[in-house]
This record gives sequence, C-alpha cells and structure tokens, in this order.
Amino acid sequence: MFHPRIRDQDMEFRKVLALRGPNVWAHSPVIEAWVDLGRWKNSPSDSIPGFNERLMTWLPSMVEHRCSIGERGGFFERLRTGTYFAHILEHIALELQTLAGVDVGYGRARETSEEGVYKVVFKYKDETLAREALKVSREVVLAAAENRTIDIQAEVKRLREIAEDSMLGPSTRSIVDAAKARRIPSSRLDKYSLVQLGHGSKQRRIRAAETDQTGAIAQSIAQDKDLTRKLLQSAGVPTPVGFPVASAADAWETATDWVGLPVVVKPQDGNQGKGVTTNLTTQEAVFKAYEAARAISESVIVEKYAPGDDYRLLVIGGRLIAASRRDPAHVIGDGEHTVRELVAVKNLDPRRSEGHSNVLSKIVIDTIAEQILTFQGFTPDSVPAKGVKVLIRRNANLSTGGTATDVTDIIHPEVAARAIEAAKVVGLDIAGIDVIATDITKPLEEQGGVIVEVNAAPGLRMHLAPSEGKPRNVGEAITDMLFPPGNNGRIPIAAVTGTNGKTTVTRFLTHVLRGTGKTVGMTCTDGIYINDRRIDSDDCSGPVSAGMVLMNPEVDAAVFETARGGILRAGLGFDECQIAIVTNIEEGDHLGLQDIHTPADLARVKRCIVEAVSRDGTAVLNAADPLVAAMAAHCVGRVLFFACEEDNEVLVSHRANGGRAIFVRNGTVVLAEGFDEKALIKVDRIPMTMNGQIRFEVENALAVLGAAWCMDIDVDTIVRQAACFGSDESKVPGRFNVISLRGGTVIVDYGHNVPALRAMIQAMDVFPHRRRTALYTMAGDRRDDDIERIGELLGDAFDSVVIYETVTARGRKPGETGGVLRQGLEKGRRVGSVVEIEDPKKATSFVLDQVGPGDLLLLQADAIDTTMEWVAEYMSGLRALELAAVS
Amino acid sequence: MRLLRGPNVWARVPVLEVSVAYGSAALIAAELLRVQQDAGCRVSFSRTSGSKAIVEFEDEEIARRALSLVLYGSRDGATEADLRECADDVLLGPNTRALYDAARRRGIPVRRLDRGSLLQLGYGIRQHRLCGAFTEQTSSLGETIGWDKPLAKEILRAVGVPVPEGRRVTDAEDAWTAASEVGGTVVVKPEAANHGRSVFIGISSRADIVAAFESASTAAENPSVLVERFIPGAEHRVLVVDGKVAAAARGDALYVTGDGIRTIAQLMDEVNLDPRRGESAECPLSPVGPDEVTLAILSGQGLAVHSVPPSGTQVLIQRNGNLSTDVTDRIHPGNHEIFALAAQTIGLDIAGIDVVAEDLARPLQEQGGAILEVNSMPGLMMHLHPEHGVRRPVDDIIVAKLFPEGSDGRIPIIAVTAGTAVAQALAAALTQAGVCTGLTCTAGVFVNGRLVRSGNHATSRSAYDLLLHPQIEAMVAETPESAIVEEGLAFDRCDAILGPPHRVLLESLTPAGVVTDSVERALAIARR
Repeated sequence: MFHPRIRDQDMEFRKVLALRGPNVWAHSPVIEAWVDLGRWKNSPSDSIPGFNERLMTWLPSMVEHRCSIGERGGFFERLRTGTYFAHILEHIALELQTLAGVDVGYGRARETSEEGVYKVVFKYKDETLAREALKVSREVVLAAAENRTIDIQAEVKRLREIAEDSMLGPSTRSIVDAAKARRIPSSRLDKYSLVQLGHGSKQRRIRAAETDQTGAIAQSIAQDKDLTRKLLQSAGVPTPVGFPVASAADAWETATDWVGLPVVVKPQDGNQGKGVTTNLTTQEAVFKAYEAARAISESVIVEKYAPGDDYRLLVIGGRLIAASRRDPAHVIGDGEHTVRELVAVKNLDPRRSEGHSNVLSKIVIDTIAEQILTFQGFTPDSVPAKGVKVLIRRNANLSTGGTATDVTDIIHPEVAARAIEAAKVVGLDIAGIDVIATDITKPLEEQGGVIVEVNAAPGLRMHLAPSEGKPRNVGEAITDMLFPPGNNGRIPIAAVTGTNGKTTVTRFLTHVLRGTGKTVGMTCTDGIYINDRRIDSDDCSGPVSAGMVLMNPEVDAAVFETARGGILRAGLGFDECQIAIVTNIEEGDHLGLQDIHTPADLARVKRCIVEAVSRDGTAVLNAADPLVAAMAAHCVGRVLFFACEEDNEVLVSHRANGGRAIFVRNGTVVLAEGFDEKALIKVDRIPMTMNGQIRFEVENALAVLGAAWCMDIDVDTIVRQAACFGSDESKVPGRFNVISLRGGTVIVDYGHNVPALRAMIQAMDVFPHRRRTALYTMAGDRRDDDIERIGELLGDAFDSVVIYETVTARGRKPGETGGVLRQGLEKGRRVGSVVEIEDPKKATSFVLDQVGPGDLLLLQADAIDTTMEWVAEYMSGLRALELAAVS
Repeated sequence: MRLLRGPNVWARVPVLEVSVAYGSAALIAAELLRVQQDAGCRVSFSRTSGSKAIVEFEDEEIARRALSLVLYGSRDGATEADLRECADDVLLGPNTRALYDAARRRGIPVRRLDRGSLLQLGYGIRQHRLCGAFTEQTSSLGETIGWDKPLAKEILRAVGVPVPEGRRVTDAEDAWTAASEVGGTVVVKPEAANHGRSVFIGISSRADIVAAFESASTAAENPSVLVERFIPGAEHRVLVVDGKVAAAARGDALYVTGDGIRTIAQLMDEVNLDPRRGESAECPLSPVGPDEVTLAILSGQGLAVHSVPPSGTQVLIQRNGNLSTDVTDRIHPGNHEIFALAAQTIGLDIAGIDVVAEDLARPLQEQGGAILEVNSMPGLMMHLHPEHGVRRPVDDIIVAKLFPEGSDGRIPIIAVTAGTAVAQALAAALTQAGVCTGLTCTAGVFVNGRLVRSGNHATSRSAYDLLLHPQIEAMVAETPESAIVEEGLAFDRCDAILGPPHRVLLESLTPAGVVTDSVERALAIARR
C-alpha cells in the first residue's frame, strides 16, 4: 500500500511509553503516547465531511463508549459535537484492544504545554498488542480523515492473533488471576508461560500447571507408563494388567496369553494419549496398533482394555480439585447422513469455533480422522446406521473437538482417594489422573475401573471452561498450594522520593532494616545493593532496578529510591509498597524537563508512591512541606507525619485525629500516636545529624525512624542502628561527608540544586571557618534560572569559588553552563575569586591543596564515585595526615 | 533356573540358580561368572551344589542372556559383544554407580526403579529417589530455566551474578552485528552446546565469526546460536549442593606431545583410549577428534591433522574440556556466595556451574570472570577422580543431603514365619497404634488394613514391591520358607522375626533385632 509521504508525516508519535507500573495516570499499566497532531491540530471531528460517519461505520461497537457524557453513545455524541484527534485515537486504541479480545476501559487525552501536542493515554494488558493497536488507530483516523478505505476486519484479525500469541495461555492465566485476587504479585519471566509469583525470598515460579516444586524425576516417572503402573500397583491403586512387549508378534501373544482380549496398545513413554489404540480384539488390529505406538516410543505396552468412560481427575497438593468426563470427538449415526455431514451438523454449534480460546473446538476430518474411521470400517462418506457411535478421534483432547463435562461433585470419595495416592506415589504436586470407569460414583474396585495414566503439567482448560457443567477455579487451588493462607508472597517494600535527602534516607532505612537480620535489597542513585554486595553501579533509581531486586531470591525486604525520571518514563517498578517516604518537594533540579514545570507538577509525579501504599501500609510525609503534606489525602493506608517541631500545625491536627507522628522535643526524638508518646532516642546520638545541628539531616533521620517504626521493627533495633549510622564515606558516599584536612574541614556532597545548596550553606555554619571555598559544577540539563540562582548562592556564601566543566554537559555547548553560573556568581556579595579549571581531577587536587587551618571547603561531587576516589587517593597520598571523620 | 533376587540360602547377594541337566555345573558356573564380568557386571560369587550352578548376578536381563550364551552358545546369533552392548545400555553409568555405592556405604538400601538411572534409596515413607545428580527435589522448572540459556543469563544478570554480555543470533550477519555490539573477542556457540562441542572461543574477525556461526548452527538439533563476550581465563566446573559449594574443578588445556613419527590424528587416537572419554553423557570427557574447533586450533598453530610434530613438541588440541584439577579449597568467600546464588536463582538443588575466570581465589567481578551456564544433573566424575588435587566426596555429599547423618532410610521390617493369622494380628496392632503398616501375607497385600492386592502374596516379590509404597512406616512380611528358598529375601535386613527363625532370616537380623513368638514384643520393635 502506498501512502503519500507528506500525509504520513503529518500526524506523528513523538514517543510511545509503556508505563508498566502504577503511574501518574492510573494504578495499572497504561500506554502514554505523545502525539503531534501536525496539520490536523485545528481539525475537530465535525469539521471534516464524512469523518464521523466513516468511523462509526468501521467501528460501530464504539457506541458502547460512554465517554464524558456518561451514557451509551456518549463518545459518538462527542464526535458529532466535535472533538480533537488525540481523544479519538484514545477511544480507537481501546476499542481495537477490546475487539482483539482484551477488554480494557480507561483512557485519557491531555494537552501538553506545546500546542498541537497531546498525551494519549490508555490502559493495556498486553504491551505488544497495545503498541500495535495504537499504530492501527493512527491509520484508522488518517484513513477516515482523508477519505481512504481501510480493511478494519483484517486489522482486527491481525491484532487478535498478536493477542493470542503474546498473552498468557488459559492455564497460566487462571493461576495469575487467582494470585491477583489474593494480592499476590506476578511477573512474566519469558514471553511464554513462565511466571514469577511473589517477590524476593517469598517468590515462587509456575509455568502453566507446573510449579517450582514439580520434580523432574516425578515428571519422568509419569512419562514411563510401565514404571508408573508398577508404582501404582505397589500403592494399591487399581491399574490394568499389562506388560511391555518387544515386537508386534509379542504384542499379540501377550494380548491373548497373558492379558486377555480386548486390549489397549500404547507407547511406554508418552502422554496426551498419543499413539494409544484401545479396545483391540483382532491380531490385525493389534499389529497396526503396535506400529502406531512404536512410532511414538521405542518400548510398547499391551494392557487389558477396561470398558467405560474416560475421566480426568485433577489432584493439586494432595487434594482432588476437579474432575471431568472426557468424550472424544464423535458422531452418532442416523441411518441417513454421511459421517462428513454429521460432523458438519455438529460443527454448527456456535461454541465450536476456530482457535484455542473457545470452550469447544471444531471437529476436523483430517488424515488422522480418516485413519480412525478406516479402523472402525468407515470412510468420511459412509452412512452409519442409526444409533451407531462413530469416533472421529481416539483421544478426548478439547483441541481436537473432544468435550469435557465437569463431574467433580459426583466422584466417589474412594475414587478420589485412589487418585490422590496415584499422584503421591509418582511424586507430583499437580497431577492429571486418567481414570476409566463405567460409574464414577462408585469405587473403582467394584466395577473393574482403573487408573491408566498419571500426567504431569496437566491441561486445566477442561476444568476452567468445561463444555458442560460447573467451571472449577483450579488456578486458585494451585495458588493456595504455593501460598498458604496468610502468605501473599510479598516482602516489605519501602519507596523513598523527594527533591533532597532521598539517597540518605534510602541508605539509612536500609541500615536500620539490616539490623533485623534481613537480607535487604536497595536501589538508589549509586547503584543496586544486596546487603553489602553492589550488583550495579549506575543510577538505579528507576523501575527496572527495583524489578531486579524483587526478582532476587535472597531479598527479604527492599528499599527503593524512586526518582521522577523513572516514574514518568515507565511507572513504578512495584505494584504496591508498605512504606512511602516523601522528604520534600522543592524548587529542585530538572524542572522544565518532560513537561514538568512547577513543584506542583513534580509533586503530582512523586505522589505516585503514596498512591501505591497498601491498605496496611504507611505514607511517611514531611509535615513542614505543604506539597508533601497534601499527599496524605491520596493514601489509602495510614499516614505518619514527621517534623522537627512538635507544634507544626499539620502534625498537631493529625495527632488530634489519632494519627502517627515523629518529631523532636528538647533534643529527643519522640514517637506519637494520637496522644500516646514514646521517647525514642536523643538526636545527638544520631551521628549523621552532627549533634542535631544539621537540620535537614535531622529531618531525614525522622523520616527513617518513623518509617522503621511503621514497619514494626522493634525499638531497640531502631535505636541501635540509628546510633551507628554515620555520615562517613562508607555509609553514604557523597552525601555530606566530613573530612578533616590540615586543621581545616572538607565537606563532600552531591547536592546540586538550589534547595540542597541552601541547606548545605546553612549546615556549614556549624563548622568554624576562617575562609570558605567551594568547588562546584553544574550538569547542563538544568534551567538557566536555576544555574544562575546557584551561582548567586555560592557567591553570597563563599570567599572563593572554583568551577569546572562537568562530564555530563547534557546537550549544552562547552562552557555554556559555566557562563550562566558565572553570571550568578557576579551577583554574589561575598565572593572574591572565581577560578575555572577545565579538568575536574586537577580542580579537585587544586582546591584540596589550598586547604589550611580554619578553612572550610565544599567539594561538590557530581560524579560521586570518581570524586570520592580522587579524595581517597589524595588523602592516602598525604601519609603524614590522618584521615578522620569529624564524627 | 531361578533368580534369587535377595539374600538367599546360598549367599547374601542375588544369585542365579541353575539346575544343570548335563555337563559340568562347575564349568557352567565359572563360565557364567566370566561372561557377566566381561560384559561389565560387578559380580564375584559362584559355587556349585550338587548339579546346581549358583552364580551372582547384577542385572536380570544380562544374567538370562549370559546363561543362554553359556548353555547354547551363539545359537540365536547372539554374541558376547552383543551382551557387552546390552550391558552398556542397562548397567548403571559411572555417576549413578557412584551414588549407588555411596548409599550402600551408609547402609541405606538402594534399588533400581527402571532400566535407566532411577534409584530408590530407602524404604517406604523414608525413601528418596535419585536419578544421576537429579534428586526428587530437583525442580523440573529449574532444569528448564537452566537449559534456556538466554533466559538463564537474563535472570542471573538481574540478581547480580556476573554473566557474559551477548545474545542469541539469527544468521551469520546477525552474529557479526552481535559481535560488534559486544566488542573485542567473542565466543560463538550452539545454544544447546554439550561438552564444548562446536564452541568457538576467542574469535574476533568477521570471517571467523561467520564460519563459526555456520558450524555452530548445524552442530546441534537446535539451530540457535549465541554470541557472547569472550571471558579470559580457565573453564571451571563448580558443583553446588543445597546452596553450598561441594567441589570445584579447573579445566586445563589438552596437549599432545609429538614423537616425530606419528601424525596428530594418531596422537589424538591415543588420547581417546582414556576410558573417561566418550560420547555418552556419563563420560566426563569428550573424545577428541578432527572437528572444526580442533582444526581451527591446529591451523592457528600452522598444523593439520596429518602433520607429524617433531619429538617433544607440545601441540594444543583443546583449550578446555580436561576438567581435572581440583580447586575447591581456593574459592574466594565472595565467589561462594555468587555460586550459591546462581544455583538458587535458577532453582536447582544440585547444579553444575560453568565458570570462566583466571583464578577462583579472587572475586569474579574483580577479574572479569563470569558464569556461563547453570546445568542440572551435573557429572560427578571430574570431582571424584580429578587428575590433580584432592578427590571430593560429592557422592557422599549428595546422599547426605537426602539422608542426614544418622538416618539410613529404613523402616521397621518384621518377618513373620508363624503364619498368616499372626502376621495379620501384628499388622492390625501396628495400624491400631497409628503406624501406617504394609502387610504381605497369603490373604493378600494390605496397607493400613485396606486390601490393595488380593491372592497369595506371602512372597518375596510382593514384599519387595510393597517397599515402593511411599507412605508405609513399617512392613510386616509373611515369609514362609518356600519364599526364601525360591526367591531369596525381599529385604537385606529385618528388625524382628516373629516365629521360628529360618537361617537366612537370622543372618539378616539387625544387631538389635529379636526372634520372638510374642506379637507384643514384635510390636514394640516395630514401633521403636
């Protein structure tokens, strides 16, 4: 198909994001597409002749979309009164997913700050399908707008195929759904059916009806029919008499001399009834059957034929959960119609349609069917006599037209007991037991009934959606086996966000949690840590890193620094958390990026972690920060407020309502719930706060201690851990590290935005100083305003400032950032000298060389690891001087 | 002819009892023993008694066929070579054999469950199953994930286990693209590589990579090929059992030494005489041959298979694959943690981890080392019989995992010679006492009083079968003299004899066992 190029370009997606975790739009996954409407930006739906009519004809089922009008036909009404293309894209993308068999309902379309550019947001369940549906939506809108034709049916069919390929199959789906109902988290490990349920050390794995405790040995035993029979016999489970045979002749001899006719011939290794032929009475039939079985397995078994119906009993964790009677595809003769015609009549049943997602499948007369017919003395064109049952298939698989009828409620308890024993003796946690019985309501022993096969990883579809009878929630039974009551597979997760302090809080809380003996996984801007082991050293404050921690089988608890970038790009890396800590929302860095312009915008993003707090969890919020305090309204769990002053209004009124709080009174940290209070620890025992003098570190400590309290960590552990969490390099590299040098003081800090610098300058007053020097740089992706403001702050507080070009110029010309910073510095009232040194390492040595008694040096560590390395190198070079932290 | 499968009137070992109608019983006994031994069976006992030849056997099928050969020669065309071939198929391979013997050393009863490697250790409720280095706790999903190398790598990377960068490639062009992404030298190998076959190591040129792809994609049934960063260092195999490193072996390069006479091909043939080299999975080492990897290595040295290296010259044949130096004690503590984590992450209780590193004594990350694969059912021979260094008792470690110190997997067995009624009374009393009891007697087989097989089951065969039952906590076996004489015992030891003691039963009695006529006394023993 040829599209004129100019038209193709005129409505484009700038980017298409899959927000896979809770996000700013919804708690569940959404696609966020940034669409530039291009030349259509001023063309509402009612302005293009025929546009609405074409859309309504192509996708008539959109009449169900209620849209903002709130009633059936609402969206069509919006089309008539005129709505913009972004909104239409959203509705079509939703509708196409629904038509592809994946029902989703939520959508939004919002303007961005750029004219004609919109964010189109809609829910999805399968990302591949959703992205494809979005592309098709664009085609549909453009085709309608340009009065072109589009084969919508073909597109829907294609989308349906994509959905069937990439979505979980029904068996796995049933388990995942059951897990979801119990709030057990799940994630797919591959593009097939391998799924992780639960997190960290509580995780389990499944793949359809196979679990991580399904033994490899048990599976191979189930494959070996002869061994299975031997084991079943030893356990007193009725099985047909049978023997392995070496040849066709041996098969017939065994059938007549040892087993007795009629017989069944089947492969020794195999499953799903492949190569099995039953009810054989003649030598010719046995010979043929031997060959069929031999094609599947080297060894063949002849066993006594047991008359009766086929039943499949599903045993899960030693309990009988479901049972179905299975009938192979067959027709009953009427003396008038051919087999082919009778099959055609049966296929008229609307439940028999193509594909795997239906309750019944179509019966197909293929070569296998023809062979089976020949075996019975028919061809597809024979006319069977009235009442004669003609088999089209030997096995009762649903996929080949068989039917399944639920019989769970009528199984005799003794039959159930034998099935459970059969699973036990083979050693399977989930087993499909094949039973042949004339009457399943009576014990097998009374009727010559037998157990003929034990299947590992049995299909669940016949129980989930039987052709007749009651569906059974077998996924629930599997989930309950893996996660006994009271265990929902979750480990405690604490999420931390805010403009400043989040890395310190993340590390401090991790330190407290480790005091309980747990293995703690932690992600922050410095990397991913599993206890002391650092498994990644990049900025790991995004959802992928959180996902890696939750996959780790060692991890008992997790603390995630959660930056705004990741939330905007992909949503949260977890579906819910026990603790959400928000330190503060200030005029921080990065304003102006990704359509986030104000602290209020930022608050909306960071609020996501508060919205993700579980009902039994807690949001730990800064009472002194109005934007943070306001997040309390969005928390379904409990809220704890922290503030340095106990008379903070927010905190006081929260306590009046019985809420939890943590604050400082006369130098002591106090925990409060309503009017109950408990003194926790003196602030001066927390080394990080420098005797309580560094206000922002006191706030950080309050957040951590409050969170630890809400995680039910015992008070002794909290106090012990708080007292040994220092601010030396080993705890939080680059976060207010204090080093003594030649009688002067060096402070290393990562702070790189206006509020962080302001807090830093305030905190520096604690240290005696004669002369103050700062080494500073800026990453290029800050707003000019912010960079200039930083220059001004530095110029007001320092006598001398050394600046260098950062390695992360982020899209700016060399020297550009420095220029802006200088503009700010010029406004400063204190600064005497401004030196620019190109090489950051040289710059670092230069300022360190200058330090003398009474000097105070602020080293801003833009790349923490390398800066800390240089400092360590420098210090170790000074053999005569001893490296000692002030604390 | 009859097979006495357990302790019998002739010996404590299973024997074949042949009544010789004509010819010398002694000659037949001697010949039957020899033929079985030559086929590879571990048998040593034979004797005669009158016209009876009594010969130990290891495997029923081999015993029958050996007898037929001895008595009738190659009448039906069968030869001793056929018998050896059959023995290769049905006798236990070296790994399973080692575990079998380790269990026996601990006094744990062991039996084979199939013609393959499946073993039952212990009886009844105390039993555990083992199949090579698979235990009944080995998760099938763990095995599957280990096999799916890209998936395994992804999961390992996520939890912080160092793995080589790289990916699956679709064609030769893609292989080159992937190699460029990785940078430097790479490894090209089939996804289902086994024993290092068709694995191309340390190549970087486009021509080499394309050629390696072509070879790797046709080497295995699965045509998928991986391109990964080349990790310098030696290949190691680390065996992890239940989260602990049980052994580690370093693979050394294989050289042949020229003698100025023979060609490289001939020198390699000599290498293959080593019994540890073979195609089967049980062989710890692959045979060497003129495959493409070897040819490439040779051409790299300016040689070909028909070259005759001068006397004393060392010629590199394989870069790895001689996993033979034990390095268990060298492993850095941090690496211990990584190996345990790798096995746990894949989900295997027993895992063979392939690691490439310069030296396991230093942390893997520090030296750019990586874990290549986490294998289920690892071979044990390289640890049990290292070429250099200490032998590691990995067989004992695996058995000890299933049977901690002090447990031997046995349940109380009471042999009853005082008749069916007495056996039934004892079984009823045991069941009454809450012990899940199995009973074999002339009235049938019963489990906790429920008839599970009817007919006369006062036989050794029935008692033997009942010991398979995964729930029974004690067994009462009616053991008439006829069963002992005709079949041998079903068990190697019993805890009490209720009734008149037969000699063979007495010999089987445990040191603490009793002979008694009192049901109460036997009950007390069975409940002990």
